[in-house]
Amino acid sequence: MSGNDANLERFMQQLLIEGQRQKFTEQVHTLTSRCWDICFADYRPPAKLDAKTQTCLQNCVNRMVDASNFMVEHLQKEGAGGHAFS
Amino acid sequence: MDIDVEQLKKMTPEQQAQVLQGIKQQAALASAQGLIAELSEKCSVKCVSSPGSSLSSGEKQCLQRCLDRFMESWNLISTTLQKRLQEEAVKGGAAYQNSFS
Repeated sequence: MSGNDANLERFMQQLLIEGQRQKFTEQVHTLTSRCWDICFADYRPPAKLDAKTQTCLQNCVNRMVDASNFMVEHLQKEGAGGHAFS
Repeated sequence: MDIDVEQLKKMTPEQQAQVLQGIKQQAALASAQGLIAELSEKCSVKCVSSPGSSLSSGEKQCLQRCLDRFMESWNLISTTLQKRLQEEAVKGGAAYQNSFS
């Protein structure tokens, strides 16, 4: 591999990592929006983030990931069955 | 958008660094703008539900708390998601392939 190729390789790697970082930020954004609506639904923002709300937010993130996993698996199975969208 | 690899190969390390820097700055700007838009919407709706002739002290306090709690929530969610993604990566083979949206 020439120095030029190694150079390009490293650059592409950096771009990939930056892309993943951006994707992560986007996911945090989406989740904050959804979980805020769920966990702060009924009351005005409290003076402190209490333990109950913290647990709600953490559970919200994990259940959203679970839900995403579940739906992806389900859709993949349907796809394998041959009657999914084409 | 097609990427011309030949063009990329011609770039000097300095040019590569510039491109990367530009991408990062754009992303940081977009992220900050998105966060501000989100905050404004959530907090104004929550705190100013029945607008009076001026912003009351109660509404101001609500807005201040709302901003603080929202930022805290953002940070907590960021940490929680990062931890979960690491667990998923260790587990491997899970359906979750960074495809959450």
